[in-house]
Amino acid sequence: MSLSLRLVLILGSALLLVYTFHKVKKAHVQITDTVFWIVVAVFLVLIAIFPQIVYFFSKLLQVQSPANLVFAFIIAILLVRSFLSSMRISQLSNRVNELSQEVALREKELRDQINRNQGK
Amino acid sequence: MEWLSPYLGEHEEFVFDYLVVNDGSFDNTRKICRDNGYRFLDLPINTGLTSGFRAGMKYAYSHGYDYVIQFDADGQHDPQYLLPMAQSALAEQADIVIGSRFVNAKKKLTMRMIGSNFLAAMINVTAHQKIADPTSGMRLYGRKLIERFAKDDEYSPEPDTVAFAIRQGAKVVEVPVTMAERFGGTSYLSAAKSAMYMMRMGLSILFFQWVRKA
Repeated sequence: MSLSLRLVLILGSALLLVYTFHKVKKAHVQITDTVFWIVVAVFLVLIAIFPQIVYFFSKLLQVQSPANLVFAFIIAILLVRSFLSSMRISQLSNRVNELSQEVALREKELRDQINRNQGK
Repeated sequence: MEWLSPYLGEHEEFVFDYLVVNDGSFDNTRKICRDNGYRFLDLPINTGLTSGFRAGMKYAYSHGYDYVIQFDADGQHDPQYLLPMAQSALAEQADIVIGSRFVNAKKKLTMRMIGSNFLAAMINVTAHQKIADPTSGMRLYGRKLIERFAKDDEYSPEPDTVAFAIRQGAKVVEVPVTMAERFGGTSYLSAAKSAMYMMRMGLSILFFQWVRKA
């Protein structure tokens, strides 16, 4: 891993951390949802400072360039993360749909009740 | 609505009711329904076909209806077929009756018909029944399916649910109908979306059948 890649990792992680804290402060994101990003940022800083970790695993997995292992790893994490997000969106949209159905059914009931009372 | 009303009320052994579902539409649907005192469900936001239909099914389920017919409001579906569909459901003890355009008539070879044939083949492979018109939007559902729709968000008024229902032991029959070109609105299946739709349906019919809960 070149020195410049390590510097970019550190800089990028620092920016990610600052941005995350900023968004928490403005309440744009829930604290629970930032855990992932903070862990990722800390992890990237870690491998930038101690590239030996990456060297060890690239030897183990017979990856020629340690930088490629870093990229592959980040891509894998992002894929998992994106699948989890997609799952969450599905669940949320189901709940929104259920809520609007419920609102519609209750509004209908209310309207019927009002009509019945007026009829009397 | 004036078009539909002669077919409502008592007809032979059935009493027909209607329910308009306004799925968060921004056109005049809400106002028209209110002004005329129609029976309608008013969803606060647009939630899509499946969800809008499920709202109607929840209503039908809690009010104890025996059959529900999914009926498009854009003029495609002809109310004169409501009675034959209901009669067929009763006579054949069917759980789903599809208002089919192709029981007798031949399909023309258009892109849409290729898609229709594709879905029919999928259903035939997985559920072992030939459905002439799987994409018909005019379907009758019996009490058993009304309950499933009311309780399970994976039940959509789409071909994959028909295939799934057959595999679950539902009896599906088809009744010949004719359909007009819609007089209002646009199909939610635009050209670009229909490829996605076919892929979704194909995957759902072929693979996700086995992991769906009954």
